[in-house]
Amino acid sequence: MSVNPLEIKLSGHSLTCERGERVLIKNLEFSVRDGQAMIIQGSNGAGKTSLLRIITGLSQATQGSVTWNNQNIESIAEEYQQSLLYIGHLAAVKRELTVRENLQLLLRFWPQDNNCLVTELAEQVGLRQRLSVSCSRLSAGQQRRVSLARLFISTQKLWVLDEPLTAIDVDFIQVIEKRLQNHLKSGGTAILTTHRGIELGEMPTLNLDLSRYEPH
Amino acid sequence: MMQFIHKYGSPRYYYQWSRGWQKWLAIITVALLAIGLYQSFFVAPPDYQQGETVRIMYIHVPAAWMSMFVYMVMAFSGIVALVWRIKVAEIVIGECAVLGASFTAMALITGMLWGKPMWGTYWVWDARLTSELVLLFLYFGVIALHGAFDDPRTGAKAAAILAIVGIINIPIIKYSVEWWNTLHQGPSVTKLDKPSMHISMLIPLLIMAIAFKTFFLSLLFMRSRAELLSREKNASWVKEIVKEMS
Amino acid sequence: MRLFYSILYRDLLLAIRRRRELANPLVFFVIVVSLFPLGVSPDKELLSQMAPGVIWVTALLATLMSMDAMFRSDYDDGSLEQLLLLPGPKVLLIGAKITAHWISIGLPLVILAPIMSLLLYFPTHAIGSLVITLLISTPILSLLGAVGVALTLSLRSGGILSSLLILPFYIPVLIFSTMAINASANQLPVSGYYALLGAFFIISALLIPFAVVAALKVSYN
Repeated sequence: MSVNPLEIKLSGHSLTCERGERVLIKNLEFSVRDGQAMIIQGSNGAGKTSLLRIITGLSQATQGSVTWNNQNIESIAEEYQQSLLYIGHLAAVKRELTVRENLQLLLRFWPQDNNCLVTELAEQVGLRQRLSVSCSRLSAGQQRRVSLARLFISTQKLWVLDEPLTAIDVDFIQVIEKRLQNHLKSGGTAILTTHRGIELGEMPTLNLDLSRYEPH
Repeated sequence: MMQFIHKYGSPRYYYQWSRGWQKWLAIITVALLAIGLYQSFFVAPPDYQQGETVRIMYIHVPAAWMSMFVYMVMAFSGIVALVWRIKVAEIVIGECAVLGASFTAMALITGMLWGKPMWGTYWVWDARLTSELVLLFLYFGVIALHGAFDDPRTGAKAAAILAIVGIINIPIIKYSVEWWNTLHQGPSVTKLDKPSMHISMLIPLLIMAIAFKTFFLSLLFMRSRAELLSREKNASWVKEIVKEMS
Repeated sequence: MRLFYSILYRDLLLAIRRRRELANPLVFFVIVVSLFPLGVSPDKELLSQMAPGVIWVTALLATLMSMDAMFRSDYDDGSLEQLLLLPGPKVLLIGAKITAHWISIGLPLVILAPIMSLLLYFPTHAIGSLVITLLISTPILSLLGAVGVALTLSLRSGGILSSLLILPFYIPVLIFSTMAINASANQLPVSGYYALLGAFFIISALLIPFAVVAALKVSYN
């Protein structure tokens, strides 16, 4: 199926997010196309994580809406969740389980195209040698690798990633960047927040600086 | 219908239309309370069994009725707040919780004062008093939950869910307490209930009941309007009002 | 339904790995039951009369202590967000988690309670009804508790607040269960009480998961 590169997939309309007395974002508008990535920047507490939560549908904006394929994500919740891959800044890795068990759960819960084996997946995230290790004994970087494993089996069109490159080492950063580029090249969309820069090669990116949307 | 709700529920419009209501309700309340109290304490006859102490019934019974009524208003506001996300409904939930708890406390205290001359003890595990006590706990829960959140809007939504779960459970709780009470009731305990009602007792009771309702509504309007101003203090219409006042 | 079984499997696996922590509420149960003869009186008549109520109240408290486990770990490490974004009916997800919680706490209580009841001179012919009431009611306790935990998940001191919120709702379960046991102890008919409890369970099982889903959304606001 050929992908029309000009097709708008995800949009935000007049998004306002208030938390108590603080207005985090006001009247935010954005549109992200097929094959495009949107990088959200802003200082800590500026509302990046809140915005990501609104985009994934985990929380609701005070006003405004998010649309996917021009449909409000609240009305197509089921369909939207099937097209969405979200990796938050918490690792979501169960410490009581081994690497193998955590990866098995990932494979069980999230449908993939090809029936990937746990060992293959572990190989891709560089944890093949640690399959039987309990995740409580992994370093932060290694736990992060387990949570990022989903990127390698994903069939979802929209990737929403909160600080995907934190805690991982330089080699693996390149692996993730490459994976992201492949995703965008095949028509996928990505929304990410990052403190440091991210190298996406020639892929079209949109930069969203939240400090522009703070009131006053 | 949706238009109606959004229009009358919008903070600015609500502030306007509730002003008239608040004023008249307050006037009616004062009038009814004056008449009702006079009737209750001077005109209505003493009970042939309980004597003058029955007069506290004119406060206790309406207070108990209000404790349930206010919970229903609270749960209904909860539904409006959750489904249509109306800010005013969120404020009403918080105010109802406090007002409802007060009525419940009033019912409990007057119940205890009524009970002392009747049974010699301030407390007895009578079905009504026990149910009122549980209701007080439910109100405390809503108040505590509402206040525990930094963001009052989130707190209101959480309180709304709790109130809705509560309203479904209240009949079950009352039923179970009634059953428990009839099973354990000793022969010497008489129920803390209205004596058989003559019209001369019914009228003051009804007057007080209506007075309590208007009292509740006027307080609700007063408090919710104040809270609304505080929450919307950054809105332009509020700033205009403040300017006009000074 | 596949979602239900996957989550159930996951939560039970986690419960087995955390079995030492999960045992704490059960130890609490044993200790507190033992406090009553010490604090009140070891008199056989008195204890025997109090036994159903004491066992039941202590079981309630032990269940409350264990409630946090339902969502806390998943909330803290970010797993809950992931689970909530899984395609499929969220109520099945919640149902699976509550079922797993019941299997890891409620069921052990059903087994432990009759044993502890012997320490209180529980009327032996009524122990059967103790087991039955606990069996029907502990799922209700898990269901109601889930609402409290879900509402207070994002709060710092959520644990104690959630207990305060849930306890009033436990009252009907407490009353009907102890009434059933007392009826059984006095050789009176009990099936009416069981039916009531069963009905309460069915209503809760059908309605509560929706409230829990709504409450979780509030916690993520």
